[in-house]
Formats: sequence, structure tokens, C-alpha cells
Amino acid sequence: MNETQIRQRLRDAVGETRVPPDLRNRVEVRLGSSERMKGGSLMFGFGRTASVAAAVLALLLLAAAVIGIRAWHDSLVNSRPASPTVQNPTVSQYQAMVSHDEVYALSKQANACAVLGDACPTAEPLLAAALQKWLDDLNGTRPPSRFVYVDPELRRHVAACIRDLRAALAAYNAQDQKGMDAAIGAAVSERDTFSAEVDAIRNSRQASASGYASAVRSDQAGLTNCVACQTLAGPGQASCNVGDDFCQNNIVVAMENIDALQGDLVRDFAPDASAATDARLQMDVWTADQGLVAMDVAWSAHDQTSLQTARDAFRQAFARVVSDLAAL
Amino acid sequence: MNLAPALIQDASSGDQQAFVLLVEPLLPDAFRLAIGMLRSESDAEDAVQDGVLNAWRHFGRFRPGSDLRPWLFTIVANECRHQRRNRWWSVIRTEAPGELVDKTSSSDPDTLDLRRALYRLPHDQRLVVILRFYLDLSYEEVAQTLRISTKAAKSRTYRALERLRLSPEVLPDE
Repeated sequence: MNETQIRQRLRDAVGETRVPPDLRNRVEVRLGSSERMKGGSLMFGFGRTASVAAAVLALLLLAAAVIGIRAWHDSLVNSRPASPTVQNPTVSQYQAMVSHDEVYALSKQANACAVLGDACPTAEPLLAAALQKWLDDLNGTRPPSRFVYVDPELRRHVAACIRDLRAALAAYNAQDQKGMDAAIGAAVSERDTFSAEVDAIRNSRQASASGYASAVRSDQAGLTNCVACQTLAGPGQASCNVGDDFCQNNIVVAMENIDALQGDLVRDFAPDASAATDARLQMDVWTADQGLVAMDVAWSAHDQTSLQTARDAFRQAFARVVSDLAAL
Repeated sequence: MNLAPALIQDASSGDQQAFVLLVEPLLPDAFRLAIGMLRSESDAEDAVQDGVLNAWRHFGRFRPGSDLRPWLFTIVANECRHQRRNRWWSVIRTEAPGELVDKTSSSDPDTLDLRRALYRLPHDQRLVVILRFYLDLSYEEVAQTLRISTKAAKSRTYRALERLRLSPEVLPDE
């Protein structure tokens, strides 16, 4: 597909946008209201003393409101279930636990640092501690069978995010801006991945037979179109060597596609009639993912032998995934 | 006559009208960026307004001579991330379908699948796709907006397209 075709397809998907005709005016009003607040011109018409008194009163009211809202927010955020609540939770209990822990962890980020950036080093220990608590909850819980393969992935990504945040803090302490940028970028990537996993867990529903069949067809097409997966697993035996950026790019892209497939399988859980085949598929998808993870580790460690071993494992697992999908 | 340097100087000195004149031509694309990222018109407008307000507050950090467009888009994109999290925080991700923009009347299953896949992409991947293919930015501008190298912008675009199952024939190039 060339760039023109890609552009057209994406425009069709997003649709045309009608820009509000008065957007400029609204922006000006917004800027103006901000200035008025800043400049205190709302006090126009009062005497100087009355203005000062009103300003002090407004500040007191604002402080009271902030304290009240903060206390209310903290009570919500900290109203955690005693965790781990259940060692062997039901599907809905597990969904609630994972959902709640993610909200709790990300609220630590939102409180101190809405977007990871310059202000974040002070927030990182707080966020890492919240993520560690989440990880402890996951480690103390046996997931329902539906989530038995996504659960270890979730743990892996939460643990990696903690590791990256600690690396970011270390880089900050060393005044290493480049290292800090890299570590924060890695943490954001892990966060996006575990958020997608949580999303799949939270929205997991048993699909109807036709819905499941449709999802399987879509997954089949997805794997067929995954050039990186085909390159790594296909019969062409294209080289993939340590130090080769294209090889690493293929590993990362294949991993993202396999993660997406795993998410789809969790989101649209198989009907009872297909449960056994689906369980086998999920296991093979997980094995394929582990192969890619091992390839990534070997690539980073410049270990060509391990890279090849991991690639063989991925290739075998990927072939089983394709076969499982065809059987469904 | 290029008014920009004078306007930038005036805006830096606190002239709000000069600042509005500078950003006005960028507002339609900023809104399109926000719609592409958020799907909700009201959220998109909030993101643009908050973004412009932040840009005004921090205009002192803008370096004269650099390009205003990627600078503003960076701020608006950050607001989109913030808006999305706020919405997620406030409604715990129970998006009301009625609030979401569905401007395309297409019933083509492939187009619908693509739209769903686009909004399941991580923020940074969706951002490169929107900047490059919806706003037609060059890879250099995409890189400036994301504050990454041009090579990294191309690589991220390639990965996002793979994820969307829109495999390019070759690595996208200028």
C-alpha cells in the first residue's frame, strides 16, 4: 500500500472535520477570561480596601475548596479494597481488582504529573510505589482461567514500568537528561501496553459464536498482514542478526501485533463450544510472545546464538497459532 | 511582508492580540489534530483552548526563528493526552457512544475496523499517524512535534501502520 492509499484510508476512517466557525472567538474569550482573572479586573467598581478584602476572602474560599476537593479525591483514590481481596477471584472480582489498581496507580501520576516530563522526578517514587503495590496484588492472586495468559504479561509490563521509572530517577539524580528521556519514554511505552491489557481485561466478555468467528477471521487477516511476523517466522529465513536495526524493528512490530492478538482473545472470550481450542490458541500466542521477548533480550545483549534459539521457538509457536486459528 | 517576527516580539512582550494573530492560522489544524486524537468535538475544543492558553502562558519559552506550528501542536497533543486521561478518570472509561464523533457515514467493514484499530493505538503511535496522514505534516515536522529524530518519527510511523495493518510497501520516505 503506498502513502496516498494509506492517507485516503485513514481519512475515510477518521472522517471529515468541521472546524467550529467561532473557534477563534472562543479562544480569544478564553484567553481574555484568563487575563481578567490574572489582572483582577473583576474587582472593578470596588474601593481598594474592599478589593483587597474580597481578594483575601476569595483566596480563603479557594483554599478551603482545594483542601475539601483534595480530601474528597484522596478518599476516593485511597478507598482501596483490602488487597489482595481474594486469592482465587471470580472473573468480575479480578476485573474489578485490576481496574481499581490501575486507577490508583495512574492517579499518583495524575496528581503530581499529568504528562511525564520535566516535573516528574519528584513524582516517580510515588508512582513506582503505587505500581509496586499493584504488582504485589497481582502476585498474591491466582487469575481466573480466562486471564491466565494475559496476567503474567500484565505483571511483566508493570514490573518493567517500575524498573524504567527507577532508571529515570537515577538518570535525573545523575543529571543525565538523555538517559532520563530514554527511561521515561520506556516507562510511557510500558504504561501504554499495560493500559491496553487492562482495557482488554476490563472489557472481556464471552462472545457469541458468530462474533467469535468474526474476531478469529479478523485475527487471521491481521497475522497475514503482519509483514514483520511473516519475515521472522516465514519460510524465507530472512536474516535477523544482533546489531541489525531492521531485525529489532521486526521484533518490536511482531510483538505489538502478537500483543494486539492476545488482547483481542481476552476481549472477545470464546464461547463454551470453542473453549478448548481457544485455550490452546491462547497458550500458543503466549509462547510466541515469549519467543519474541527472548529475541528482544538476546538482540539487546548481542547474543546471536540465543537470538537464533528464540527465533526458532517463535517460528514454531507462530506456526501453531496460524494452525489454531485455521481450526476455529 | 513577513509580519511574524514583529508579532512574535509583540506577543513575547505580552501583547495578547499579537499572539492571537500568530496562532489564528493554526487553529483549524490544531482542532483537526485534537479531533483525530480524541474523537469528541467538545473534548477537542477544550484541548485546543487549553493548549492555546498554555502556549500563551509559556510563550516566553518559544524560541524566535523556530517554527510555531510544531511547537503549538506539541502543546495541543499533550493537552489531548491530558484530556483523554481526565475523561478516562472522570468516567472510568465508560465512553458514551453518543459523545463520540462519527463523521464518516461509511459502512464499509474495513473502514470501521480501521477506525476501531486507530483509537486502540497507544497515544504516541496514534499521534504520528494523525500528524503524518491526517494533517499531512512532513516527517521533519512530525519529528519536531514529538521532539524525536526524523528517523525515529519514520520508524514509529512504520510501526503504527503495521499495527493498523496498513503495511507500507517500503519504509515511508519523503
